[in-house]
Amino acid sequence: MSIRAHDYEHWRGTSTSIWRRRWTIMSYGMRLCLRSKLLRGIFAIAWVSALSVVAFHFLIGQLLSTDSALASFVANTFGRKAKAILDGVTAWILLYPEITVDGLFRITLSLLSLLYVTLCCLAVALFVPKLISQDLSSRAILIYNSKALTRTDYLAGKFGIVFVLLGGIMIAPLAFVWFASNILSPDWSFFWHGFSALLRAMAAGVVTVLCLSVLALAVSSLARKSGAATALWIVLWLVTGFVAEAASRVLPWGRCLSPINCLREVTRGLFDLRGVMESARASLPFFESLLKSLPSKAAVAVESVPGGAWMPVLFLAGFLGISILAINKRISNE
Amino acid sequence: MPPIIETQGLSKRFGSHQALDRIDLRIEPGTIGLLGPNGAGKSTLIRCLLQLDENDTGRASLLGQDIDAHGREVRKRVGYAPEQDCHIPGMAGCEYVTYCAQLSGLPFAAARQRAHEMLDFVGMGQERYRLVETYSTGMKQRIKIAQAIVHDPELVFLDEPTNGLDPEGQAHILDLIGRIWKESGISVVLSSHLLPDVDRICEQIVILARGRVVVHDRLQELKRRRQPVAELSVQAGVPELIEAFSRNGWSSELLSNGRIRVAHGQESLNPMIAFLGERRIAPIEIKASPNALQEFFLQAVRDQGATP
Amino acid sequence: MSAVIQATELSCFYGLVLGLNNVTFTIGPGITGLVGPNGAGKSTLIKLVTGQIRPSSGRLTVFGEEPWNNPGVLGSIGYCPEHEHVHQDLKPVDWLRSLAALSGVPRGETLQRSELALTAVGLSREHWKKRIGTYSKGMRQRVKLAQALLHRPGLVILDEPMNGLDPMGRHEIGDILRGLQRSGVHILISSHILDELEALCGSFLMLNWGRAVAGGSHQEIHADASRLPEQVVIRTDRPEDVVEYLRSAGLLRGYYLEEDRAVVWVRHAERFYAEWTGLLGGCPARIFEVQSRATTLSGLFEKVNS
Repeated sequence: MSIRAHDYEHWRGTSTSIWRRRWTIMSYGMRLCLRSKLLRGIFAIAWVSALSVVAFHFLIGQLLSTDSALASFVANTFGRKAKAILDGVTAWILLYPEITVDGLFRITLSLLSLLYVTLCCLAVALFVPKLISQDLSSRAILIYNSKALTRTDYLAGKFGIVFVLLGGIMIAPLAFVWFASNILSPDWSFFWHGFSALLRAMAAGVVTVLCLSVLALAVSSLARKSGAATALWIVLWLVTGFVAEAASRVLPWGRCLSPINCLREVTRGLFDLRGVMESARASLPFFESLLKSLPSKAAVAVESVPGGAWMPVLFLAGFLGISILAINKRISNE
Repeated sequence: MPPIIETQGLSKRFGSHQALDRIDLRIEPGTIGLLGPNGAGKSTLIRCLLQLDENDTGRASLLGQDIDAHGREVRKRVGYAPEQDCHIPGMAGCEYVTYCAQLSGLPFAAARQRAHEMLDFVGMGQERYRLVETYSTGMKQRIKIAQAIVHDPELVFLDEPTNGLDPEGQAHILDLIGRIWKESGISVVLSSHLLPDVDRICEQIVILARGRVVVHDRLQELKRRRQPVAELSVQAGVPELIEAFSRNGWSSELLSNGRIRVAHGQESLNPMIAFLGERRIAPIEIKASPNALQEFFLQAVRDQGATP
Repeated sequence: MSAVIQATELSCFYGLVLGLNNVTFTIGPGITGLVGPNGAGKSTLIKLVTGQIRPSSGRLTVFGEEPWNNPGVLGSIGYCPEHEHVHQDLKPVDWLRSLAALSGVPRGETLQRSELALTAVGLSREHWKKRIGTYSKGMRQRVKLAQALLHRPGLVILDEPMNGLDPMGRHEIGDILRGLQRSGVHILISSHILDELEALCGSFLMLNWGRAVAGGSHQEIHADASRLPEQVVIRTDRPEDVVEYLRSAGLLRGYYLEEDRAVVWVRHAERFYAEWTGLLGGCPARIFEVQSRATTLSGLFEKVNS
């Protein structure tokens, strides 16, 4: 072999597509964010709670199927009376599956969603500086923009990071709960009866993750220092929450001053628990008397905002518009 | 050969400040020195060509492609090392350069390979496994150059690459920049305040002042246009020598650094050397027009100032 | 030649950290360049000369007296630091007047002195009423220099005055310094830009790892260096012809060629340096530059660092 100097060599090859380059930005950003142990902790909480809801659904399913070990265990332990109640409930569900199965899913998934909104907010607080703020303070944006990328490509990559991370905390566990519960349920025809619950959950998940992603990018692009970005997010999340709470006593639409509150309202609206109660009251026997003694908290919350579910949607659209303007301005100024 | 940079009426305004004023340029491949006083628009021109700033009016094309129509594709073939200190946080040197190569469209395997090749090229050893944030100024300048050429561009913009370095670092970076064109055929646009550096490396000179192109020519041509002077340094006998020069019709003066500056009006130094040889005077050193570029620069910028 | 600054076995440590290690040198009148890589001890030396710190051992004198705790001699030193400590909201005259008052100029004279200093650095009168914050870098550098000239020092010390300036600004500062030198002020200037120093300074002091590795005027450095067989750079349009010519004259030991220059190692260096004009006078190639590599600052720098 002859001696070869390590001189400059040209690269001859076909370059990757723009989607591949966006994916590069996204995958690096995700690796960077997932280095945080706290964030991994939040993921664990989200999935453990999803698993416990699945387990809860499984227990209920086992209680209600006549030939399951659990049902016979209940019958043996608590006697005939318990067995009779269970049989009654089973018959009730088999008579009105479209209301009861759907209702159960809607209630558990909506509770889970509200937990996930909080978890998502926590997660964003952990990784928000790593999105754009750090690029602003180290002038990495200059490097990105001088490469074969546009500002849109850069934002698409960054958006992908938040969307995938939050999707992993909210959308994926919700879908998992629904599928796993159905697979473990005694009757697979419940797939059809619970389908609208899945659609509602996915809609709530996508809307929440989408909005939080845009808000997170906006907050991240407004602050140069890591601490400032986290602080700004916490202000947006908690402080506006308190302000909105206080304002709601004076103004009917005060609650909508906080974007996170808006998201919660929209989630509640999408699951429409009041609708569940009303259809249950209308078609299920015994249910009306049961409901009279239990005033539904969810129903009260929805009624308190004038204009129904549309007010939070309007406010949310406003917040998103402002965010997009802010991102645009900050990124193009670099 | 097609021009690497072509602009027509390129203008850019920041508030009341006209940063670029109808720039018309047609630059051939090679090494180009981009000069000008502070605020003359050097960085703005580079930023506009890379679409980091949007130009107000005018058109520009790099490597024969219009930047407005094909911005992304053009930047695939162009590299840029900004003046400011910049890096992507949380990355080790080789990871950073690999990432930059991927952003420019190299597949991961090729990117990784080329990143290490370029780090060798800029002379970085084990430091490449350390976080970029922890680098010294010299290392940061080197890695900026590595990331600018890692995707094998055809044209690279280097904005003040020797800023903040000590003389050893400056010499190394300059040597490196000279090699980029010589060994790889990548055209280099070097923006610098250090005229001797530009003198050493660049074949073409573009001088900007107040957002306009004042001079664009080959360095050789510019030097030919100057009145020939020489600077020489002798051990002793300075007054006698000045006297001898003036008898020969050459005006000369003693500079603050102890050298004598002679306006001899000849094309080469040979007549001067013969003149000194006859008198058995052997100067320690003698240079033809050592500050030609600097003098030319000052002249050009002053002329521009006189005619607004 | 009388010494402006004289160091004898001077050392300065910060705990275990090396600043200067047992250096002996003399800095004469005129403009002297202080060069060396980062961490060579340049700023330590400047701090010692301006009396900000005290030598660990050895002796340093400025105009024959030790600067530490000696207001008498400090009064004849002007210092222009590298970093900008100029108050952005003040006008230059106000700033300079307050500084003049601090350094003991009588009240009635502060205005006159400030105006003199500003004139000396060539800052035109129309700028005097503007805030320093609105100044360009070159103008700020001048105000800083004016501050160093307020008390009419005999020695001015400048730390990296050319940093961040454009060629125009450098040229202007260079002119101002040359003017100061003509009016009898001695100047010590540190810089990383060797070409700039070479164009300005008559003598140099080079530091490396806390030691003085070379010093003296250009001619003295050359006299030291030329004892060895030397590397000479000859810039010409036909390098091969020059090499061939030297070979036939029996002066060539070795060489390499670049595009527009021949780098040669000469045989009989003493003879070559004594007679080269006569020898090269008949060379057919056009010659643009003849320079011994070891006498340029950058050549010296390379040698010291290798």
